[in-house]
Amino acid sequence: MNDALTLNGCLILSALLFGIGLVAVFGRRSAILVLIGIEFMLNAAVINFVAFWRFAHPSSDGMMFSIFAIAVAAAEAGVGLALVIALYRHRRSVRIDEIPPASE
Amino acid sequence: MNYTLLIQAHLTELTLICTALIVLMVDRLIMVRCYPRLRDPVAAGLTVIGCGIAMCGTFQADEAIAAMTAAVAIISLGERFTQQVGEYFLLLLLAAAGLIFMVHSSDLLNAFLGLETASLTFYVLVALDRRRAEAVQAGFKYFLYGGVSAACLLYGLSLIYGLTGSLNFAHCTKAFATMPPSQMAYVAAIMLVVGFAFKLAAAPFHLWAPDVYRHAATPVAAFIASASKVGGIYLLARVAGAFQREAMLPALVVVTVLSLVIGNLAAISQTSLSRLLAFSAVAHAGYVLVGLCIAPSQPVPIAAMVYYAVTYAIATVGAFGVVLALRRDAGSDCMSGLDGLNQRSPALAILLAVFVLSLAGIPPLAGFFGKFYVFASALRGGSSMTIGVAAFAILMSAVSLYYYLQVLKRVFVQPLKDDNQPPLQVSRVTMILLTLLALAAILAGLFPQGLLQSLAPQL
Repeated sequence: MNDALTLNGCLILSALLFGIGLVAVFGRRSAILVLIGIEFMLNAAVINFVAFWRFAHPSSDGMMFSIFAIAVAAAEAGVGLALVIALYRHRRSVRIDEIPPASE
Repeated sequence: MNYTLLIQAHLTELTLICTALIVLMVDRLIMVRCYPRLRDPVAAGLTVIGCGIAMCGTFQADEAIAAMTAAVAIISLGERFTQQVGEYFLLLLLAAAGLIFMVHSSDLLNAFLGLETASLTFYVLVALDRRRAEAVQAGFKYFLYGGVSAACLLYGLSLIYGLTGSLNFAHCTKAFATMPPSQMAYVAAIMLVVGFAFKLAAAPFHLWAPDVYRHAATPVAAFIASASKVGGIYLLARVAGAFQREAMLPALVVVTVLSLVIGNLAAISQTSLSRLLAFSAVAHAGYVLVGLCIAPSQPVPIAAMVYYAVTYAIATVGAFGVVLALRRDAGSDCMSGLDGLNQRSPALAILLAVFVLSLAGIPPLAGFFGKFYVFASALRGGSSMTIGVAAFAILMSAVSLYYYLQVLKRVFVQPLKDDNQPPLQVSRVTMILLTLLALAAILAGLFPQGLLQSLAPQL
């Protein structure tokens, strides 16, 4: 048994990951880095599911939730990258600060 | 495990998914090669048939979503915004299946999966017209906001799982009933409200809505404005019922008041009909959320909220039908294009009046009873704060009359700029659909009890 790993430790890690992802989404200019930020946030939730399953509710379905969440994150990344490619074809760049703000 | 029961429970979604595959196969294998000119009508026809089969049964939130999908498929006829006809209708049906799966689920994780299925198809649908840079940008913006809100929602769900050990609605209701509100519950509540506020385009998470409504193809915008609203409000009402509402209340009140203020004030200054509808959607999200700002001991008025969402969806699809006619005629949906519409097409003018007045909440149209039931249940469950929020919402719906009547003033009072303008051409199918929607708005307003009872969820 590894005693270094506790529920609190996992929750702090996931909160940190979520925060880093949020900062990346709002602070980064490149669409790719923003996508990575969103992945960070989704994976923070996955860590939570696994941690709660391991330490708090070992007889429940937490592991299954995390697998579904990973699938959702993968689908999201797929659609996101497709949109980035479509954007790149028009603007020859993936910098999101070059997208004009709401029209008119 | 009994597969027959499983199939029976999800028959609606299965019907829609099978229809989606049939539409794609027919389009790709037969229509492209043999009858390229009939691709649109055949694909739309198959979609409508599939939605019609899915609509069998008592009229509830899932049937309402199928009906909206059929309406959107009909107004898509003759819209040549993409070469991928089969794929377009496939995505439409898959999004509807996702929303209905979300409505049917008894589990927060399944609901989340349905929501994501629908959201991911919406991002693609908005950006489907790849040749237009604006559409792609609107789709990408929608994706960014949507991705962040989905992550927030999932994080909130993980905290709920941590608190209760399950994501089942019934189990969560039981577990939360005996639990005092903790800090973790407050964090989870904020995450959930952020996620749903985005789905409903409630302020301050509405920034995607004006761009999407304006730059996406018109039928897609109509679909996002109607079906996803119905699904989102149904799910939010159920989640709020299962979750600790003491923890959710502060965040809900903030979102409600902000939506009412921002939606109504920003709508006043809009110069295009689609952007006006976008900000009116923000305001309507505020009105319907009033139903959740009630004292935690009261039951959630889920039937009233779904009735509101359905009547709102009917009026919005109708209004987008008029936007579509204007765009085909003039190439844009500027408000000045509405000038003298009454002289160019009296029938369309009257239909637009029905939809706009229903959105404004004028009796005896359906929109009035939607607002009435939601506000009445809020006032009945009254702490002083609830009554304050409801009174503020009523005040704000008086403000909203200003911009709705501005639209009608242009249609009926403003003279035509140029007397030689030809009458506005609207295809016959669109006209029949708009008439049916207007009739639905009037009938739902004249006989609100029947619809309200049938919409009450049988859980």
